[in-house]
Amino acid sequence: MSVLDVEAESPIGIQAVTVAETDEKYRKRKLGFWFWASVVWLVLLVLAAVFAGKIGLQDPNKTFRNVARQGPSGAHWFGADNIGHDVFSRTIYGARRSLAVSGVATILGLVMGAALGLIAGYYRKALDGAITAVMNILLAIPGLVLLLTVIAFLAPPGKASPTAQTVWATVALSVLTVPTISRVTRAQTMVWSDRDFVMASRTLGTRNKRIIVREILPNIVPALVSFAFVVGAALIIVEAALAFFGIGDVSGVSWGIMIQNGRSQLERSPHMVLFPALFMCITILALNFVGDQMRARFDVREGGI
Amino acid sequence: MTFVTRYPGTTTVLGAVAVLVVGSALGLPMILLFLVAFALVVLGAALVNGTYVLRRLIVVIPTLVIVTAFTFYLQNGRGNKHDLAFNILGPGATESGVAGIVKQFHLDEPLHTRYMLWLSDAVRGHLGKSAISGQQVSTAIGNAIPVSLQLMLYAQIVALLLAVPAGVYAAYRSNKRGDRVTSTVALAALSVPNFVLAIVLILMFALGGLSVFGHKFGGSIFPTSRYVPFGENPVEHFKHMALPTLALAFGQAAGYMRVLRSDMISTLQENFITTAKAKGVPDRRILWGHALRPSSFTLLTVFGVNTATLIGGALIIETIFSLPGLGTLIGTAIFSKDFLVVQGVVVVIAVGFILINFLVDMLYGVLDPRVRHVRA
Repeated sequence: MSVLDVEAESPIGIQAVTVAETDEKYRKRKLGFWFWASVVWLVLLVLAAVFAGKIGLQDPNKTFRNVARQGPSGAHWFGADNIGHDVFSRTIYGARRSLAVSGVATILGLVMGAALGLIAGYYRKALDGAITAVMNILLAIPGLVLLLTVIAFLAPPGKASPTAQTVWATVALSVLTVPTISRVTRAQTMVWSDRDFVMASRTLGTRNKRIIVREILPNIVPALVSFAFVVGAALIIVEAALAFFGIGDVSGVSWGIMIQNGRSQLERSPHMVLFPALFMCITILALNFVGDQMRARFDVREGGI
Repeated sequence: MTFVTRYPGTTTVLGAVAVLVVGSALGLPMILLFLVAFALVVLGAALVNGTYVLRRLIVVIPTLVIVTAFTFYLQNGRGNKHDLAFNILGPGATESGVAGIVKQFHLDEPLHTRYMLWLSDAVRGHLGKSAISGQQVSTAIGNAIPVSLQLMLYAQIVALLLAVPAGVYAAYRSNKRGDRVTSTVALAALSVPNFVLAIVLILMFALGGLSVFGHKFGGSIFPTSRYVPFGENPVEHFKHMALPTLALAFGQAAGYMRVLRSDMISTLQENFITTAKAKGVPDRRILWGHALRPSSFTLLTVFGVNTATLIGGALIIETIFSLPGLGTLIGTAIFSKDFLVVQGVVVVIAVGFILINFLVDMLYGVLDPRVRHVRA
C-alpha cells in the first residue's frame, strides 16, 4: 500500500470532493446493464413458471426410460434424475412453488410489518415501546426453529393436507419477516414524520390516520419496495431450506426438494443438484441486485435532504 | 486489583466465560452455569452503565417467559393426551403404558397448569428427561453445546478474517474497480444459500472432485460427516470442521464486508481523517489505526446477531455434516415431538441471545469512548 501513498489522488482526505461529485453522478446515473439483466431474468423466470404447462416442456412427473442419472444431452438439457425425470422441466416447474410461496409471504410480511412500523414510528412513546418489545421477543426465537415448530406442530407431515402445509409454511415465513420490516419502516417513518410538511398537515387539523396514509406512506413506499426484493431473496433460501428438511408439502416439485433428493446421488450425478441450485442462486442474486440498486436510488440519506 | 476496579465490565465477562468453561469441564449442570454467568454479566454491566442495564433487565424475564410459553403452546396446543403417549411408546402401546405416560408428563392437566409445572421445574434447574431417549435434557444440551460453540467460533473467526481486509480495501478504493470487483463478489457470495455451498464443497473437496466437461476440480482432501472432539485428536478435529466452517463463514463474511465498507466510506469523510492526512500519516495507518475502530459499530451489531443465532446451532449445516450440535438436537426433537428437549434448547438459545446482546452493548463502550462517557 506504500505505493498508493504517493498517488496524487489518494482516496483519503482529498476524497471528500470526489465523492460529492460521484454522488451527484450517482443520482443521475442510469440503472445499468446488470440491473436490467437481473430484471429480464426475473421476468423470464416468472413467465416460464406461470406458463410452464404451455411452452412445450416435458411433463415433470413423466419418467423416461434408459436415461436415469444421465448428464445433460440434446433431449434432456439438464440431464435426468435417478428415476428418469427430466431435470430441466422440473427446474422450471420447481420455480413455481419457490416463487409463489416466497412472493406471497413477502407481501403478507410487508403489509403486517409496514402497518406495525408506521404505527410505532408515528405515535412513538408507549405504543412504540410495546411494539418494539414484541418484535424483540420475536427476534429472540431463532427463525428456523420457529418455522420448524410452527409447521411440525400445526401442520404435521403426513396428517395435514399438502395445501394446509403450504399455507402454514407461507404464514410462518411471513411472520418471520415482520420484525425486520417493521424496524425498517419505523426508522423511515420517524425520519419523515419530523419533516415540515407533516407538521403543516398536522397544524391544519388533519387526522393522524390520514397523515399516515396520505403523507408518510407514499414517501416510504420506495424504500419498502427495494427492501421487499431483499426479503424475497432471503425467503427463497428459507423456503428451500424447509423443503430440504422435508417439512411442508414434499410431494410436489420445488428447488429445495430437488436439491434434497439429489444429495444422495451427489457422487454419480451431481447435475441433479447443481442445476436447480444454480437457478436458485441466480434468482437470489438478481433479487438482491435489484433491491440493492433501488435502495441506492431511493435511500433517504443519499438523497441529500 | 487495579484492573478489576478499572474495568469491571471486562472482568465480569471474563469471569462469566471462566465459569462456563470450568463448570462444563467439571460437569456441573449447564442451566446453573448459565444462570451464574448471566448474573455475573448483569452485575458487570450494571457497574459500567448503571440504570440502563436494569431497564434492559426488566425486559429479559418477560421475554424468556413469553418465548418458552409460546413454544410450549405450539408443541402441545394440538392433539390429545394420547397422541404423545403413542408417539413415545410406538404402535404397540398398551392402555397401562399410555396411562403411565399421561401421568408422568401430567398430560391430563390443562395446558397452562402443565406450563407452570414445567416453568417451576426449569427455574430450579430441572429441565426434565427426554421422552424418547430417557436422557436428562440438561445432559443432552451439555453434550451438544461445545459442538455448536466450536462451529460458531471457527466460522466467525474465518468470516472476520475474510471480511475485514476486504471491507477496508473496498472502502479505500470506493467506486473504483477494486471496490466494484470486491463488492460484486460479496453480493454473489451473499446469494449462495449455505446448504448449496455445503453441497458444492462436499462435492469438490470430499467426494473426489467436481468434473466439468472432463476437467476435474478439487479432490478428496477433507473427510465428510463425522464429529471428532478436539481433545481426542486436534488435527482430525480441524479436518472435520473445515468444510462446515467454510460453508457457514462465506455468506457471513460477505454480509460483514458490505456493512464495514459502507460505514468506513462515511468515516473516511470525517474531519479527523483529513487532519491525519494533512499531518502526513500514511494511508495504511489511517485505515487501520484511525478509521477502522469508529467504523465497526454496525459490523459489531450484525456480528452480535449472527453469533447469537449460531448459539442455537446452524441447523442445516449441522445436519448436512452430521455434527451433534444444538441444531441437530432441536431438529430431531421437533420431529419426534420430544417437547421437553425442545423447551430446554429454546431456553438456552434465548438466554444466549440476550447474553450476546448485553456483551455487544458493552463492547460499544469499549470501542467508542464517546459512548462510555455518555453512559457512565
